[in-house]
Amino acid sequence: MSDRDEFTPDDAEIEELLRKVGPRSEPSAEATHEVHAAVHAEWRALIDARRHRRRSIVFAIAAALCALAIGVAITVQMLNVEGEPIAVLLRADGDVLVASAGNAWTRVDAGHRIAIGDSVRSDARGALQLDNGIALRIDRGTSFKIVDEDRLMLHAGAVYVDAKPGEASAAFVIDTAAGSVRHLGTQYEVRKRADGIDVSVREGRVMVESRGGNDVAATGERLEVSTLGSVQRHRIAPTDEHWRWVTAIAPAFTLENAPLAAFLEWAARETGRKLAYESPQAEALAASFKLHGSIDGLSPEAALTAVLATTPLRLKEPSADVLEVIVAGD
Amino acid sequence: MLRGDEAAFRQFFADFFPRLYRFALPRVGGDADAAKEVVQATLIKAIRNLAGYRGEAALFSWLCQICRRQVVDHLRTLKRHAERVILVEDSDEMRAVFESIAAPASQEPPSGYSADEMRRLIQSVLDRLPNRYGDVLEWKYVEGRSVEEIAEALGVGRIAAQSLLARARTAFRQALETVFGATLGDVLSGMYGPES
Repeated sequence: MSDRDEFTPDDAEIEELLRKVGPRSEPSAEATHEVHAAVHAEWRALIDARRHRRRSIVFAIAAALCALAIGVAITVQMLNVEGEPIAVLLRADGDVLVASAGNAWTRVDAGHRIAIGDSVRSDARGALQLDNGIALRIDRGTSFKIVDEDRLMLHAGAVYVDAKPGEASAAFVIDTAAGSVRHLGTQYEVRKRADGIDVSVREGRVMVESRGGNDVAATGERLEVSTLGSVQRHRIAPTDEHWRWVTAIAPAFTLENAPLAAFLEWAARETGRKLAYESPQAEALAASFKLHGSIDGLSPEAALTAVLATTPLRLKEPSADVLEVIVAGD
Repeated sequence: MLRGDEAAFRQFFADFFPRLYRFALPRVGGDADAAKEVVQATLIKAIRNLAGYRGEAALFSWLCQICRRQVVDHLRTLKRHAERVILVEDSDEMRAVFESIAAPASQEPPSGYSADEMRRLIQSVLDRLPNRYGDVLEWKYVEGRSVEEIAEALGVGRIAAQSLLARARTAFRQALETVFGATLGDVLSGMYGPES
């Protein structure tokens, strides 16, 4: 049913009047962009100042309570204020810098804990693990701020999010000047551009909230979202070369004593492919077969080849989009 | 928005920047750059004072009050008192009528406007309507967008967009009656002048 079917005399009068009046004048895109940037900066400064004031109040209350009772530190931790560590840097292939609470940038190494309120700047690729279960990878030239335990503000570069389906940690939001990106169990990348963001989904679904409204991107889709709210949709395969940087900085899988099935699941996820077993026998073997040794320094693809060679299982077609596992000799 | 919600900020900016720009533009003599500067100063001032906004007036009315002061400051800076533009909608009487659009008043409305004044007043009515009613009416009846396209632009379903359009039409009619003291049909006739 088209809306012309519902055209009423009520519409006709309003349409005639409004057409006679003509469209209201709109500010230019350039003016909109310029004013948006200025007002947004003012708003962010205000929010930061309010947070700072709120923190000051929280600390004042905590100090007062300290005179009366023990456990202030636990209280502050429960309030989830800035300074609370929520992530760890697992790996970096160069310099990663962190600035906490207005302090100077400090170079950090793997194992460094990153807290709410910290700003992170990376000239290299890096991998972070959030305490809530979500894994982040950052591309070269990325800078962002951890705004909350489940929220970051991306200023430049690209962040890849890996949240396994079914984990309780699903909620996570990436804010940018062009929009906010939230998801439910997925692998996706948010990449900042000068005039907007690209949101690429490798698995699952994400919602992008921009000035143009809400848009959902599903597996294999890339949305180009401008700061003015326009959205263009493109295709991107989960095995596309675009994801190569993500695979290159993947944290190593701990092989020792792990079931082969867990390793295969990891390798499939890291290479953007689905895992399938040709037979119940192959699946049972993968579940029961324990691995030993290390794959440190190997890419997921290379590790897959090396590990499978030591097991009774093989890939049916090594280069296919689906990792189909068969029993050797079948 | 004061909790740092980016989506709320974007909504605030998208809702009010174009309307304030249209409010400021005729008041600075149609100077687009001046209108941009005035609206930027208005929004920054509003953001700084947002915590003090108590909701006694509609948010857009409150923003317009700030914008009027910014226009005066701007013109004073340029030492252009003599060029200050006084619009019919800036009269105390008309301001009171505009303030009452959200809750229509029964006072006698002003009348006897030129076609240009009527056109601007009707556009001001669209800007004063709540809940983006002005936008959806313009999309539908001026730009000719379908209900589906409006639903997509608003991020809502088709039924919700239809319902929003129906409420927008009702609100627009009531607002016109409040401002002009005449039905939509009479206002339409007035747009064609006495000869039609």
